[in-house]
Amino acid sequence: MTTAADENRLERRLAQADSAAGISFAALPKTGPAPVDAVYVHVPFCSTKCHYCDFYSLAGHLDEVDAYLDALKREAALQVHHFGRPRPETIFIGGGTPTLLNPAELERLMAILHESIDMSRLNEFTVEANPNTFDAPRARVLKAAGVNRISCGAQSFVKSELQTLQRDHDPENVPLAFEIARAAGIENLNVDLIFGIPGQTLESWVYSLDRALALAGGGPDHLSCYSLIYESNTAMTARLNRGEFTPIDEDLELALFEHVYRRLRDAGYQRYEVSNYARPGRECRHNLHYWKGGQWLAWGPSAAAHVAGWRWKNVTNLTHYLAALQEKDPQVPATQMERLSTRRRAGELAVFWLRLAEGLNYAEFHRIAGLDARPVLERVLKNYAELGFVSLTPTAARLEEKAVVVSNRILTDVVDAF
Amino acid sequence: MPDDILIRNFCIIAHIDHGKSTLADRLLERTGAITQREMNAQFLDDMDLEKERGITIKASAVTVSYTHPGTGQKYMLNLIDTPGHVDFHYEVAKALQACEGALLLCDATQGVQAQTVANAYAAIDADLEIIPVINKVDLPSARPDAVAEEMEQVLGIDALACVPISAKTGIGIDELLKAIAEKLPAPAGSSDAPLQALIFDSKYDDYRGVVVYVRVINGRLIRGQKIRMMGKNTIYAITDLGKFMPKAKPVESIGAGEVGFIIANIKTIQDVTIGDTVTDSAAPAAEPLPGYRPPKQMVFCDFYPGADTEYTQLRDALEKLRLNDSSFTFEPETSDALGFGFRCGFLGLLHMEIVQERLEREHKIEVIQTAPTVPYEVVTSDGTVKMIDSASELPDPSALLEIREPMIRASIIVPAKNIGDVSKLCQDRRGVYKKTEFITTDRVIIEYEMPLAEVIFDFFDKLKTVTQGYGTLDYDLLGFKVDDLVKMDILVAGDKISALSLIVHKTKADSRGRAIIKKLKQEISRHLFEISIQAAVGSRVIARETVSALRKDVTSKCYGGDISRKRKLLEKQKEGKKRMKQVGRVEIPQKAFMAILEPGD
Ligand SMILES: Nc1nc2c(ncn2[C@@H]2O[C@H](COP(=O)(O)OP(=O)(O)OP(=O)(O)O)[C@@H](O)[C@H]2O)c(=O)[nH]1
Ligand code: SF4
Ligand SMILES: [Mg+2]
Repeated sequence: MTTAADENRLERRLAQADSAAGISFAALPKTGPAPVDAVYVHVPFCSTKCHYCDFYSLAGHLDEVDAYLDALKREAALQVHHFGRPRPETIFIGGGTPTLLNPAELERLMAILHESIDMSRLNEFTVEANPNTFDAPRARVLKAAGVNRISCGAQSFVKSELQTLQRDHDPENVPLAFEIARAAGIENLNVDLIFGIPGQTLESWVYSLDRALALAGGGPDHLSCYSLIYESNTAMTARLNRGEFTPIDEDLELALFEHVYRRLRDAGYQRYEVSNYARPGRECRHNLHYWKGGQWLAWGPSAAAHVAGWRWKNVTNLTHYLAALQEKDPQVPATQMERLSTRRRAGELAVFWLRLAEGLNYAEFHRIAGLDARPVLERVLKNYAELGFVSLTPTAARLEEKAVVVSNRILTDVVDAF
Repeated sequence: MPDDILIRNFCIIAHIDHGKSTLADRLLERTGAITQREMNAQFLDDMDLEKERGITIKASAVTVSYTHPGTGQKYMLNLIDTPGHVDFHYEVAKALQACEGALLLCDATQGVQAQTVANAYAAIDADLEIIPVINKVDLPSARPDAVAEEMEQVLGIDALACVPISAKTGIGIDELLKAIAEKLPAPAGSSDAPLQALIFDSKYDDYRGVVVYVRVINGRLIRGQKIRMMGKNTIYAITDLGKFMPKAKPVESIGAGEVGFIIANIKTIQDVTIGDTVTDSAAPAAEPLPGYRPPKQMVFCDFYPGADTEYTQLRDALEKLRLNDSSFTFEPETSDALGFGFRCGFLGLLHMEIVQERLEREHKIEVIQTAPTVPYEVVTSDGTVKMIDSASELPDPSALLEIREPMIRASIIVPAKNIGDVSKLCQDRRGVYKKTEFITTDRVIIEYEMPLAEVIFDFFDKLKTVTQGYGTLDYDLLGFKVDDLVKMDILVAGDKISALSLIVHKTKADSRGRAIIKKLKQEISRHLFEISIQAAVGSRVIARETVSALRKDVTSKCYGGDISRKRKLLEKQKEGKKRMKQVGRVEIPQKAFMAILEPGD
């Protein structure tokens, strides 16, 4: 098992290697002032590393929070200088574990955002919270700063499953966190759940989902139910390769997937995206910006932005992030700068859009992508439509319910069709 | 060239791996053509494929100088290293025609093997002076005297004439060089006669056009000279002449008996044919040289352009490659499933594989290949006899009188204790026993008459297995013979895939059919619907499998704003799909078109 100390050592080594190699960053695209729909902020600290996780986060390192906040402040200032002061509809603070910051640090983070962002248009402000790091003082800070949505990583309500995932919380932390949030007056609450955990059964999944639906305030407003994915470079995958457990079989995973859909539908939630369920009106607007070609700024290490047709990603390494954003002569730590061709971007947009239950509306698509998707989609989806997996109307293309479980197969034909 | 230098032309021939290329290394080294520092093992195997596989694929000719230590006489030695594998026998045949002598190598631990015999007879037939050489005498298990006895017994070569050497350590190389100088005849032609130069190889160079490799039989090539290709009747002016020593070295002229290359700014590939004669355009020879007997292609398959390849690119690449390997053929072909491509003929399975790999490496061309087949002769009810090289060319059953298949004489050399196993193997493959001859008390040559189709695909592997690696095989074609042959069709989701049809012996149809269908089932990935795969003879379905419908392929994961990641994942998945061909609604991977190689036993 890799320990936090191992991770940190590795991290430092990589950073040294990179800085020895004289890593250089991409310049921000010269777009002039750019209107954005959203801002994402990445907080790269966690108490321990969950075994399935491939987000960029460090276990521990809390002594670097101040330096991180200094850097974040400079990054925000650089971007405001470059693109103008953003006036987004949504903000999402993710990680990592933003709630690992203590109330004072959180307060400072909020102050930085208020300094750099025009909040006048804001209608959704989400912070990710891990059940065991969320408490009343933090909730008060967030509420006071205008946060109106909490996304809580519950993952499972079965202790042994949390252990398999190496989550460091107890199932009972989740109801507590919900009560704290509701008590603080934060209305819009999401839980994340994971299915397909080794050892999971249909019964245990039914139990977890039922517990989630019984959370304070008549249950969550939104649920994200992801399947466990064995990403390379995760401890989970290493354990799998060592034969420490067997992944659950395909039939069971399908049954779990179908159960979510039915159970949540019966409880009044709509599946509006492959993995996302919401009460009417409670869809995550921030994510919808991602999926429907919106524009967003992204701050913090590893955060990925999309502005004026350009995509880039910040360096996935706190040391480099801090080095780039030193007080003297700070620079934006952007890497992987790419500008997609219209066609490539259209393929990407269509893929994400078709994952939405509402389907892809040709007129709306045209407005965003600048080209007509209808002839293209009718060509590549014709076979699938004949088989009943896709519905094609003169105004829209939409994956049918039964197509969701095989959506990748269909979307591979869409991604390069334009 | 000064008159006091004598010329010796010879090739090195042997069974595969008996050490031809290693001997060439020693000859290059000992004559000072390359220094020890420049030397890397099997120096003349300069193709990557040759290095990787450790075998020679193409013959290479080099020129070296040698001074006889006793007489002080200077010699120019033109040596050709040849491949040992049976598929490349055509290379040997060409080399024999360019030489007066041959070094017949035999491994001192393995003794006479199938291609030792075949190559020895070929050299004798070509009237070459043979120097028998026993190689690898450095090995502890070497038994040079016994092997010399075998040479005498099987080939009628004087055991006492054998030169024992180690191509690895250099033992006996000096003696061998002396023997070459003393025993091999000088070339017969005259530099004063009208020019006749035999084209034995060529290659395409992007900058210099076609490079033509020749052996001058009569007359002299001179830089600047106007030459005529006698077969094509085209005229070119020589811009450069050279020799491989082994590095290319420019020369002013090449006289009778010598070997070298011509560069004449030839951009039209079709103007150069292997076996054609080059003559002087002002003072031409009366007759072209006899040239080469064209090789008989015995394995056929289709090449279609693969992912990111155009038909015309494939055609250009095939044309360029053919300059360097005249022993394969290609003709335009179309298929419902695979579109426009080429029907290609090869000398054997390894040859096919090599051509395909050379297209990929040297020309960056990816091909989809269908499963190989042997050619057949069909007789239709009106009595006409036609050669076909694909099952899809078979006439309608009502018009079909008989199907004849190619037969071979297989000479198999095995330890005597394996006679029983080998006989059983041959009988399973519809072989008819002819005779057995003892080479020594414990090794025999067994001869069988067998259908080529039963031998060409996996017989050799099976032979190696039952003889613990000791069995070797050579074969030659006898002709075509009628048998109970039927056409088997493969249907995927109800559609007949003509590129997968094949001709099989009636008694083997069921087992082959089952094996193929099973293989296809593994290759075809699950679709959103169930796919049936069937093998049928006429209207009778003999095997059936089903690929069940895909049930789950969904990414249910949080990517946050890192949209590109998901896109790249799908794009990668799509890359994989590009290696598929759409047949109706079914995507069939390229590899599946090889499924009919499954032997079914
Ligand atoms: N011990 C020993 N090994 C040898 C000798 N000559 C060749 N070998 C080895 O035998 C193997 C085959 O040698 P090659 O020279 O490639 O044989 P080849 O006849 O050119 O083979 P093909 O071109 O494929 O027919 C190599 O591993 C050589 O190192 C020798 O005199 N002694
Ligand atoms: S809490 Fe979230 S970000 Fe942190 S390690 Fe676990 S899954 Fe990854
Ligand atoms: Mg060789």
